[in-house]
Amino acid sequence: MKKIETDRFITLALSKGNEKVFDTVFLDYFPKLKKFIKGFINNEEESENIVQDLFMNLWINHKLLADVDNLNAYLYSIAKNAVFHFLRNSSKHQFRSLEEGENILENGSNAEDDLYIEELLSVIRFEIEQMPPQRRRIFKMSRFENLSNEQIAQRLNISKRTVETHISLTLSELRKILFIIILLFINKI
Amino acid sequence: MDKQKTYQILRSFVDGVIPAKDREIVVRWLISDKDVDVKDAALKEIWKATDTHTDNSLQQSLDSFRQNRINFASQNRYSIVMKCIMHYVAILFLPIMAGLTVWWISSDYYNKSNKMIECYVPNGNVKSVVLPDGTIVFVNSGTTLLYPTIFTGDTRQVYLSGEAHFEVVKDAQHPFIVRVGQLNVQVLGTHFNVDAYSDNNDVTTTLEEGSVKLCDSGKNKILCVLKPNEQVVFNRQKRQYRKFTVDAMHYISWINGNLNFYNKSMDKIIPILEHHFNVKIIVDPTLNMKEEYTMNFKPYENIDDVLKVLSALSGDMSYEKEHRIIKLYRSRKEVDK
Repeated sequence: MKKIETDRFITLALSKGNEKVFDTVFLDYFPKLKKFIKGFINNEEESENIVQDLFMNLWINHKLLADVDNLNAYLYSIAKNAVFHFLRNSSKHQFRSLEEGENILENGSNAEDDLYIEELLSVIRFEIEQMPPQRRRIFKMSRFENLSNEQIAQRLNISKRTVETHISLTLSELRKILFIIILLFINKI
Repeated sequence: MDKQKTYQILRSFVDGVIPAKDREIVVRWLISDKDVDVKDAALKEIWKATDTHTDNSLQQSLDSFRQNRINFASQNRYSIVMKCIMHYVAILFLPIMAGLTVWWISSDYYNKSNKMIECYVPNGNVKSVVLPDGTIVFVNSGTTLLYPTIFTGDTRQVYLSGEAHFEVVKDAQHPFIVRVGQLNVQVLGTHFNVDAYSDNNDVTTTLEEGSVKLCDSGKNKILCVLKPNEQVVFNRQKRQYRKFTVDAMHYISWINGNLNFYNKSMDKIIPILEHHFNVKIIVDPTLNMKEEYTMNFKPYENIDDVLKVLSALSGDMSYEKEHRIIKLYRSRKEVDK
């Protein structure tokens, strides 16, 4: 309850165009929004621009925030929309010629894509299983159980730094391995 | 694809584990219409897990934002609310008008060699746009707004097919005109709403503040001048209009994402729902489409919430929903004794 009351207070202040509160929300959420968006569109400058645009839109239309109860959820949904909007409009995904016999489902995705993605996923899972036990445990806790680095550190009685290092090493291993495996073994039709 | 797999592939994607040339496949899968709810749940988890490391660049970003805010504030802006609702009934006229409108637009395009910007908002969305003069436009679902890169000439003209709400920057020297087929809505520094969906035979202009002059450019004459809280319904076929006094706020709350119906008949409600939620609704012909409803929905309420309320209010209507297709049909309800 308390969190929602604070949120309400903030969104009310935002809806009145309170600059100080806007700055605070900016500092709180800008990094998270940027990181989230960058995860999908993979471009530092573009992500920065998109989030700046989002905040300007919030500022210009600040009256609309009066109806928002949950700021975090609201920002998530505008970030998600921005990502989808961007991805849909990057021309790579708009024009794709049909090859004979290709089975196209709604909006461009096809059954082959689904199969390919499942294959990718099974490769990833397989590789994770090959990792040394401690690293594998930490990675699974982070990515499969959605625990925070701090929570993992507490549970395993190690430092947060250690957790971060393990995860980062796992990720770079995975990136390397995936790159090679895709080159060698998975045939894309 | 199940919940767990969906999450894991998306997580791998944002972690950069997916090789570059395969990213395109994942993106294509992500933006497709399948399993939207599952994907959304996964994305929410990713959002939750997104940590926030701040660094020195954050202060810089904040400074940028502050500067943008200052630049925006220095534009002189007037907010006048005008309510003017115009209804067009022009079933036969529609294809002809659409053709004429396109011709006008393309001739303008080549004459002024000022590139027109098209703002298209798909069903299920609402978007706000700032025009070159600083005018703010809220554009509703399933709407196209065309406007030039720069306003040149004596007037500021935009073209609308759909619904939009305008907050126009005052500039008496350069009247702001919204063109909807043969109707021109000329604005004198105001806030007003125009509802002119092509699948809706009515064109509705609602004025909140200020004053609006409605002209029939086909007959080249001024039809009427509207004052705040006035609504004009214009019949395209007969070229006649009727004026009403209304509460403008009822007609513009959509800009907040609200969905409001005041004594609206079913046949008008259906297309609005289709646009707002991006669904297709198939109606049983035995249902009474003239039945009127008054209901209000908040931005976070979805089509299921609306359908539940609608079927509860109607008493004899049930629905079936599969993905984005909804069927409304007549059902006998048990009467409570």
